[in-house]
Amino acid sequence: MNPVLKVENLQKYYKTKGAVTKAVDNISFEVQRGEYIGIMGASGSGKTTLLNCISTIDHATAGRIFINSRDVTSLNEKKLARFRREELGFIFQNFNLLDTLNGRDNIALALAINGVEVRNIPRLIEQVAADLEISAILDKYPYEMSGGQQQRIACARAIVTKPSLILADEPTGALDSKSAGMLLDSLSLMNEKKEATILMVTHDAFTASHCKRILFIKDGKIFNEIVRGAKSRKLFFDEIMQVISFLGGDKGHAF
Amino acid sequence: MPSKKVKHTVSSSIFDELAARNVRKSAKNYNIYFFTLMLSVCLFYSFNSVSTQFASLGLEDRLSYLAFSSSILTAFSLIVCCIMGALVVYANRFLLKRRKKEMGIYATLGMERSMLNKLLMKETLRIGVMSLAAGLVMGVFAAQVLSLITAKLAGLSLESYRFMISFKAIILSVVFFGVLFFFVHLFNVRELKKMSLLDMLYAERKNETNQEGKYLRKFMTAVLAAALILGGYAYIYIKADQALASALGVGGLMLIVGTIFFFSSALSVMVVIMKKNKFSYFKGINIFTTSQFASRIKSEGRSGAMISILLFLSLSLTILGPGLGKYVMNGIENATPYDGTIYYALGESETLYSNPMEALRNTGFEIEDVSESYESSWIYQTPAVTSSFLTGDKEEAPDRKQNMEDEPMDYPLAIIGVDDYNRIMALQGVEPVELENDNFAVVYAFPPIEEAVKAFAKNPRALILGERSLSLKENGIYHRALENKNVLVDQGTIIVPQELTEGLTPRNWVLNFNFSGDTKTGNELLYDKWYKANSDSFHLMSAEEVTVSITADNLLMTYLGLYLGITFLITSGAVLALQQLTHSSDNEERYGLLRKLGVSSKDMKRSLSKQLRVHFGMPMFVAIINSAVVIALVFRYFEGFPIRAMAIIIGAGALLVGIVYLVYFITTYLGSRRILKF
Repeated sequence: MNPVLKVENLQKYYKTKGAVTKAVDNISFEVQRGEYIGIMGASGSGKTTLLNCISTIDHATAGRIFINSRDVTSLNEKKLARFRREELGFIFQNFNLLDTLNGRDNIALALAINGVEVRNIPRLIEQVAADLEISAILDKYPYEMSGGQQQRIACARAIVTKPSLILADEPTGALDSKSAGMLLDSLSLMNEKKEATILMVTHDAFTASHCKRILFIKDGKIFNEIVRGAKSRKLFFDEIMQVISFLGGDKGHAF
Repeated sequence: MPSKKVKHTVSSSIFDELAARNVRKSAKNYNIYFFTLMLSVCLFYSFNSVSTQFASLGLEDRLSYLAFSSSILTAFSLIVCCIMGALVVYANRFLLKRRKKEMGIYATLGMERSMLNKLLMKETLRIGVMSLAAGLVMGVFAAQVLSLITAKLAGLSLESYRFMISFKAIILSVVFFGVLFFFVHLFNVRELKKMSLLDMLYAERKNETNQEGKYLRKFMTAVLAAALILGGYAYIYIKADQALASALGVGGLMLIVGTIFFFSSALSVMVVIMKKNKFSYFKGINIFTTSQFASRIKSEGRSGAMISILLFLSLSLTILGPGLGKYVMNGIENATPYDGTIYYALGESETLYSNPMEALRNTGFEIEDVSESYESSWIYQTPAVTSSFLTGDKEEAPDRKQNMEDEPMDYPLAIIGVDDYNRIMALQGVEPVELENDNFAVVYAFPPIEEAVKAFAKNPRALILGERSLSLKENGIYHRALENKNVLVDQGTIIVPQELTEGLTPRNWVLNFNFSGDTKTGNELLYDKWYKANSDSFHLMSAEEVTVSITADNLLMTYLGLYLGITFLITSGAVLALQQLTHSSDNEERYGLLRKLGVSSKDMKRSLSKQLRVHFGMPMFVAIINSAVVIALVFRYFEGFPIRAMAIIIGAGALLVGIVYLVYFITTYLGSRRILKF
């Protein structure tokens, strides 16, 4: 079976006043269906740039990205839009819900853009709301919700179209620890029950400890990789912390 | 998932709903934009319905003077529409930029550009239809008010007034604004195309880089600005008499450059002064207020100058338009002493009729058909007596002559024999003048010459005609009109003993008459007969025509001034308001921080109001000075124009501009407070 995501020799350079910054420097990896993968790194390590390239928001300088065996680096804009709505789901640090729409309509919009028939939309929303336990807040507007509630609506919006890959950029970054915990439970649930493939960028070890596999990035390169396997989350967390302290070297506050 | 294979047959209902909500949200935050759109439709309709207003007021327009005026207004609507278009495109781009993130969300959800464009089109359509409908309703009522003003300007009673709706103006408005909104949509699409997805999602609102440390240069700029502006005024004033065009060109350029320099330095200088004054700098949240000004030094320079120039145009036009309108009416009471006047003017090529009355009859026009009471008279001239005889400004004349060679200022004066004068005056029921053999008298009709004539009366000169020397008759100055005239300017006419006219050159011949019956049928009969006759050498000036043509001129000047003036006004008001409102929403975080630091909302309100007062006040201040200079310059040429009328026009214009500007200021202040939540 083909991997859901395959990154090949990906490079992304920025030119600023003559100096070239290698934000992503020759990265290759694969993500299989049903995986829950975390990408960790300090700020400036290139992890968000990597995510932006994968999510087709940014263009790579060199290298190729295959999602479901399709090379996204070669798609034109119109095909990209179609690709995004059919294959990708997004979860952002700052939620990015439309504040003119309530929770239900925010989810419905994703379905409508996908061309789902109108009569099917309410059923799909009720189902995803029940799964993520957000039925009670569906009719609230974003400004009436807490950050955690908004992020869970965003999760529902990301998964309701059944994308091949869900991309999450620091999803707990703007949440308190309780909301973060609930959100991570939702993500795990999406991964285990709904078999969603999730790629999550984070710099928080606790958040990362919910993943099944973690790639560490430093200076645009993959530095290390650890797999949770059958380990308990606590043990996995300790392991992450070890890598982090190793990564940071003598700089204790690298993260 | 089955939907993945489904061809794109999205029911558009959710997009309609989305468009509606987006519009509603923008309308809430930027109601000033919708208000301006509505106002411009209203303005457009009102001034394009002027011809319908004439009809509703029952104004006769036999020679299409009014139709001409109203078509000029319609032609200028094209300019107005372009200005409005620029405003709407600007405002729309502005609003679109603020929605970058929203556009980014749509794109990550997989909306194609074409869908995004369609969504924007739905929004534009909605805004367009809403503002057009509301504007037209407002316009229909505003047009009624305008008709009342028209009636007053035309001196009509409101008897025949009825509520009117101009379908022509409605269609024009719909077409013009339809095209405008179509262009807005095209611009939107183009703007959207320029944004990359990365831009949309992650572009943070950029702060301006602070320009501290360049204060010396800024001070130099400020000094240069002051020098340029003052120099510009001086140049215009000194050179205006000799070469008006180049004076306005060079002087105007100096003013514009000076204004731009002024705005690029004003805020910096103000910030330095505020910082120097340590006592007030550390008082309350003045540190914050100062930093707010400092953060906008760069952008303010460009937009401030533009807004100031727009305001200057607005103020000048709203005052000069009605001013010119009133000026062409000045002396109207003397414009129509008779029901009609027929002229026979002596052109160079034309043969001199020794008996014009006979010649007129030969054209097929019988004066007896329309009138039983008529009198005719020759009017003479001689190169020896010119306008400087009365005005006495010989010393100024050669100076002007140099630059206006085609138009010498020294005309021969009109001269009339006393018997002729008395005959045509008798038709007006005026008592005859008795003139001794060695006397002359002066008659003038219109205010521009009044002062000169009065000065002449105090200090009269002798009139030399051939061998004879005449002196001014005691109290020999008369304020009377000899004929119907639609240009209310004259040089004065000399009345001499009848026998002296034999040595003079005939200048023109007038036939004054009053209708036998009532005016309406009289005019109908007159024009019927006149057009049937072959009277090319003669010119008819009926009282009706004079009134209508002067009224048409007055209305044209007044309305054109107001129309363009208000357009510039709401343009500058809207641009300024939008800038300040977005500035406020950019600063939400800063104010939130202040609140967390424990600053009271009273202090924040004070800081906000101070910032807005400066941003609104500075362009207005410069505009007032600039327009005061220009208005004074123009009014200087309005000879014989009563000071009271001038004061009323300046006051009314300034009040109108002031009130609308104030509305924009208050709305911006309240809107900013809502955005900043205090």
